Amino acid sequence: MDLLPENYKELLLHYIDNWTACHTAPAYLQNLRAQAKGAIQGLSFPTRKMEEWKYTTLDRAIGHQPLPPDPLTGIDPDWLEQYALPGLEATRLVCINGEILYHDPLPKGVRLERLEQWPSHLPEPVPQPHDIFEQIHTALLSSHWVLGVAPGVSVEKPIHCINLIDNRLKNVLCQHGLLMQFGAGAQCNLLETQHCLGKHSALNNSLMQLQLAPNSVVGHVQIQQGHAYQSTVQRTHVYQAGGSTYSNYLFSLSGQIIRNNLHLSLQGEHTEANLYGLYLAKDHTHIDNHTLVDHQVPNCQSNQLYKGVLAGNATGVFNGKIYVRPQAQKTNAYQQNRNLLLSEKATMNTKPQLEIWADDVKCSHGCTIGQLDEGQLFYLQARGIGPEASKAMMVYAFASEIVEKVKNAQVRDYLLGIIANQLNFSID
Amino acid sequence: MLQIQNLHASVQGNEILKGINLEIKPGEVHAIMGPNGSGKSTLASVLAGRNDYEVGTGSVRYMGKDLLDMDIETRSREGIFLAFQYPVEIPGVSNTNFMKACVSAHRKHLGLEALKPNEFLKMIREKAALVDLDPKFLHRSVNEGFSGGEKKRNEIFQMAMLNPKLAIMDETDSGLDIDALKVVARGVNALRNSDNAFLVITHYQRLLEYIVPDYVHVLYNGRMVKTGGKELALELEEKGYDWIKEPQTAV
Repeated sequence: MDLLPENYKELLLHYIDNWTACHTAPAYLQNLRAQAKGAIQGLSFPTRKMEEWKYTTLDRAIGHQPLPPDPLTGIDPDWLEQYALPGLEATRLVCINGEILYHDPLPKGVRLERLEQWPSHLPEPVPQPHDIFEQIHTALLSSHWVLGVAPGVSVEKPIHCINLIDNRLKNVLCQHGLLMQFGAGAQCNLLETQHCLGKHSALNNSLMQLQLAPNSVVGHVQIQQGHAYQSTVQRTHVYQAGGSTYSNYLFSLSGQIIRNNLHLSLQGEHTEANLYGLYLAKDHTHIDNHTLVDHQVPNCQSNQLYKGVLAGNATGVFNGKIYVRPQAQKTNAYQQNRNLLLSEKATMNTKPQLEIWADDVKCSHGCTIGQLDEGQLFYLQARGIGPEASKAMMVYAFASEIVEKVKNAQVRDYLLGIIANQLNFSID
Repeated sequence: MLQIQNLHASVQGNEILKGINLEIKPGEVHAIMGPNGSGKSTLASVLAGRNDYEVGTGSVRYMGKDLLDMDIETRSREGIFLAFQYPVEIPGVSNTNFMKACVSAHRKHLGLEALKPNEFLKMIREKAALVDLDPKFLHRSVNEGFSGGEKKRNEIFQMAMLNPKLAIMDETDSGLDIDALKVVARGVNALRNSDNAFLVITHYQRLLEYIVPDYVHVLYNGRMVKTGGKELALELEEKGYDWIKEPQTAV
């Protein structure tokens, strides 16, 4: 490793001072930045001694001393076409280093503003006190952007948030983030993709916060792809009011190190939460998914299915927390984590963590780590399909169960195309 | 087409096949009968290339080539088809996509052009009709949630799609009611011609009423102990297997 994380922290703090001096912000954000910088001074980068980071170290990503990219302006909409999904009609937002530089005309009932310009009062988002990445995110944030869907509005086309990482000139630390408000009864589908513009090392520090008002319905597809020097630390916080439905589909398909924290707070009765995850890791990729479903009130339901395929020297982590608070009676909470190991060196660490304080609930969990079934492989080969193609076919089938959960056909096709490509597999 | 000479095979050190001899010529249907544990399914598995079995001495020649030297998939592409006793469920792979992959692998091996989508569609519909396979099964995952009879029917459907030279049917009749048995037999009889051959492994004579064999062999304790015409199957049905069991020689 080039540098220890502590040295990097000093470098980063020094950089934050310089950066802050030339990036003005409204008073509230200046205060938040200063508080965040103070918090960073007292925090350390995660080590394996911390329970939450027992199996994941970011040394490889931090060793490249990533720093914020230089501002990029003047996006040409035509240039964006390469980041659109084939055949998908969507309203696109383009985000670089936390700034929204371009967006298609917004549909009726959808609003996108900086927080200080938002028409009604919104509480300032305060980073989790002990989370150094959320603090860094706040300390280096240009603006809080808010995306809102008005009550009762059904947004027809998905909103596609294209997160670009400008690593053309140097190793970068990017802050991506969006606050999202869904009014009562609103319906909306979100898609997030990320793309590197260059070849340098990148650490994408993403923070998404979603507020769902009563009876709103939100589908949220997050696709993570990157090259061998691109890492991601992603936080997604979701707050659900009564009767709302939130479905998250998280695809971690390539990169160096990916750490996701998906945190759902079920705050109103009769809410539904669905969490689907698929991770594919090969070579030295490391993918860590931490989920937390916090059942705070009675009569809610959560379903969770995460599947992973690990090859080469790849490592994976799944930690699934389900909290059922004392008052959250009649909770239904399910969790499944299934993993395929394709090589002798691939490793998976999986840990269901159910903490249940209520007594009238239905909760279940299960996790498996296995290999491809010899009997199935023999069957395919006995019909003339070669061994590599047979394996690819079975892995594809394993992975496609999660893809099939996505409702939009173009998004499904896009994902299946990437997966087939990674497996070097084709179904005509 | 197939010459098996003095074939020995064992699993985990236990010798199951103790010197099998068998010759099959194009156009012939051979039945292998025998009590449980006599080695019938082992023979089928060894021919298809399952590697849980260690092949000892002996040779198997297929179309003039050393069969035991071929990969599992090459055996299939060269025209050997094993209809499984217990067809395997493959969740997430549709029957149609599975067949598409199989047919294109076979055609590529044989130096044939890939089928156009409409040609493939026509073929798959025709072959499904041959075994009364409801087209809805084509879109379902391979064998997943199929009944025993549907699975066996699906095996014969696959056989029809791949049009093998040598089809090995491993207890295809087990778990079939009489109507399903007739459907399976009709499919097999429709595929019979002077260029291909069938090796039908069965415990009971019943299937052989519908798929009439040219030869019946009795396998017992890893050896062929008797060979005859189709009447041998009736005799076995009547008398059971005890009379063909050789007196065991003390080792």
